[in-house]
Amino acid sequence: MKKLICVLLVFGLVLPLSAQEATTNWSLGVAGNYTAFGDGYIPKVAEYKYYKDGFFPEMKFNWNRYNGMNKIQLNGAYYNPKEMLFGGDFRLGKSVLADVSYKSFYRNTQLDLLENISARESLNREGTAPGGKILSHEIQNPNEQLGYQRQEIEANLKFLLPGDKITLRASHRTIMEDGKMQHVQNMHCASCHLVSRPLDVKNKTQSLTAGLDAALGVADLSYEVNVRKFISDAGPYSAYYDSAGHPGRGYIWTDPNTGATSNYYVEFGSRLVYHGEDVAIAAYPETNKLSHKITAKSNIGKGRLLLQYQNTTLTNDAQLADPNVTITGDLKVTANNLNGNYSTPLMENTKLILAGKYRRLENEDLSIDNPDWRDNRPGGDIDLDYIRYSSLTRTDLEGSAKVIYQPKRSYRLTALLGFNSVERDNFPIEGANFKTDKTMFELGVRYRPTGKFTGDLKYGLENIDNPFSPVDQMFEMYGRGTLMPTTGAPNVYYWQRDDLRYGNISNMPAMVHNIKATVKVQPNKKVKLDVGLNLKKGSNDTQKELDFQQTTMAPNLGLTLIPNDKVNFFANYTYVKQTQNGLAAVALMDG
Amino acid sequence: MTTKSLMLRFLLALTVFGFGIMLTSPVFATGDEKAKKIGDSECVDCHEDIAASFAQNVHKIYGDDAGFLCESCHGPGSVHAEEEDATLIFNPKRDFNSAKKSICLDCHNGSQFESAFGTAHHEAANGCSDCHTVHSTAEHLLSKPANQLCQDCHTDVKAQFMLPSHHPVEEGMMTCQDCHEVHGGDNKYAMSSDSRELCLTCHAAKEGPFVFEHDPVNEDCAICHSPHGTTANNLLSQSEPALCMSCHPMHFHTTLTAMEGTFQAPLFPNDPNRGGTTTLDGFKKGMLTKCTQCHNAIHGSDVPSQGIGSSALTR
Repeated sequence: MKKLICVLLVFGLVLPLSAQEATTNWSLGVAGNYTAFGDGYIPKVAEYKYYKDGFFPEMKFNWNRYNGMNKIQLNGAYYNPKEMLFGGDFRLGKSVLADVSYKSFYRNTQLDLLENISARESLNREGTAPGGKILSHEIQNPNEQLGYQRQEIEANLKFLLPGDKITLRASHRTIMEDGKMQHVQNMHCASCHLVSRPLDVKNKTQSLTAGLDAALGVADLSYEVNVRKFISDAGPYSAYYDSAGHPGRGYIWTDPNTGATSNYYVEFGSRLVYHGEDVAIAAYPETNKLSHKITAKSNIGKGRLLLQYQNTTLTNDAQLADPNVTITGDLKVTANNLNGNYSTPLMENTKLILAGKYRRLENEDLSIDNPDWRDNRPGGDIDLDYIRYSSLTRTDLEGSAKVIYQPKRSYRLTALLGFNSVERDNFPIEGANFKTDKTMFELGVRYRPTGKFTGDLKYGLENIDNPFSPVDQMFEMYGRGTLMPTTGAPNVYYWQRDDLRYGNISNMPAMVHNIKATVKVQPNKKVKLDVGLNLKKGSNDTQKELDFQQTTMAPNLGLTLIPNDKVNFFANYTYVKQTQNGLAAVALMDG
Repeated sequence: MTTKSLMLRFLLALTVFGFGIMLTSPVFATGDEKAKKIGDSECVDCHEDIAASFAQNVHKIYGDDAGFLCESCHGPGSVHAEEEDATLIFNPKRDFNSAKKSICLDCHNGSQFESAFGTAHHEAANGCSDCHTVHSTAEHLLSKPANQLCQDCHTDVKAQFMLPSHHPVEEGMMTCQDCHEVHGGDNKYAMSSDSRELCLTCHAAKEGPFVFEHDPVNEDCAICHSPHGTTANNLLSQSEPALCMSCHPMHFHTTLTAMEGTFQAPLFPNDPNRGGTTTLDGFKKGMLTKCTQCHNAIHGSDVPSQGIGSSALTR
């Protein structure tokens, strides 16, 4: 249907353009490259460079035809069989506007070699040689080219109804990813063996949007509905996870003298969710998203008001089940957003812009029924079932006021004061609200006496209370309690120590200063000089002893020379230096 | 000198500098109030070069102010024509005032332009003419190809696109407008939607909702990724495992003795089989390991991992 609409549109445009006097412009560029690595090995030399031995012609073209209010523009570029883009823009009178585009490129990922994965914990029983948890590894297809072809088709259509008040619009977008990815199958706890193999990537995201814009005089209204579907056609894949063995031996041991089998299988198997069985791996669920958006704009007083409401539901409709863990509940996210802004003259040469935003996100709770810890073992039978509360469930509030003062042509002052708060429900545990508050301030000045000189200076400050932190991950909180083995258990287990990890140490800044300065000098139409400096510093004074800091320094110098209409020389030097004095969490326990 | 004191001095200097400039600044040219309309033909007499390129201009094609098209934007031009003085006519490029409504928005009041009336990106530029050459026939009347135009001002971003991992903007497969509403947008950095929402528009496989989640994915993609370009793979702001270790401890097998020298597990100080053999070499190798090799479902998963608790995101 979409193809038919495009074809009809092209014919509809060609006819009037042919019948009347029209202007046609076109350009064509042809080049090529020859690549020879010779040995057939295709290295990852760059993220988007596709290399294959051989000669590859390249072509670029642009063709457009105008006739009054009708237009066809076609353009495209072909670089190699995996990298190309084509597009067209169409206009038919005042009523129809359309565009269609296709692009395709290859993205190299990489092969993760596994040689560096190593874990050794103990010597052998005699203490003479390394033993214990030695991870072994296997790459099943080391020469596989890992990456994916990404193709995107997009089409947009606008139709202005007679009367020029109402516009109907529709758009479609499909993104396809097709290739191979590396999948490392992790059986660390069972057999200490890693297997890497290439699996297919076959992702498809389809999005359809329909909308209506109405200019009603007193107000402009628009409504938009969007449907998005994500599916993966790869697989299904499964993998066998070995039976549990002793960490020191790595296998189920049979005493050569007595023939007795160790109880390691039971002991360590009882700590695992599954072992000695095939389970599904690398599956993406099918997700569906539906959103409605209503926008209203109107002149209120001397200013202009914009209000927007959006409702979105996102569902996981093909949740992959696992027989060992029972999950109860719907995988569904609901979002309700309300945005607004009001822009009005405050006094002569002064404008005030107020903006506000409210958003409520709710991700439904799930019940996760895990196997018991060390079921039927001494100190075991511990119920590890839990309710999964999502950190996505939250309320966001945002507001800002901005004043622009420009009394004269050459001079402008801007000031902004704003806040943003994110209140997460039940994060990380039920009832534990974790709230981040941000206050923002900005002050800027522009000096532009003539078109030949423009100078800008801007300072921004962000003050953040409780920046996001993975609350229970980083360090044990000092003095949080003394651990004792659970009844009947010989040791304190590592998951008990995990429970102590509760501290809101963050690797995010609590205060950010940003200074930006730019100067543009253009003495005449043939010469232009740009000089700029961007300085940014983030720190976290609430945890001074950890000395967290982020800095960015980016000076810039640019020169443009245009000696005539046909020659344009541009040189630019930009230096970006970013540093972070961050934190690294360390292991604190024995296994 | 404290940071607060430095800030106060800076703000004071900025204010004094600002008022100093204001006192010496020229006022706006808004055209002569006595002027009358003279019609396009009079304008063309002097501005032949502009008229030539204007013939196929979209304003010429769509303009419904036939015969007086020039003055529909520039205002009545009789005094300017008589005196031949450029300051006696309104020039939207020269006389742009960001405290007032742009004259372009009188007609371009559709949804995307409307938001420009009240957003930072609009005020940062010097009006529409900073990017658009209004009399030309170029695509969208842009003075340069779109990406190049953006990068003229956002030079630090331009540099980031040169880094080994980047979105394919330099390759011509993306434009800045794919993520940014250049005419406004109600979000920070003029993004067309909330940053997380925006990333997941194209990367829908990472959105879920999943049973087992990774909190930063729920929070903001920019906690781990830097969208314009990075030296680490996959647009990660740091290489693994350093990035992961800024929140999570490395597995204890590899790091224990590296921190303290020869290690004896505290619960078994006299048992040579329970410690003492993890080597510094192990820690070094650990630093060469990527966490996502095993935790490959890092953005979320519906199926449990092997260890009890199920949430290690390994399947």
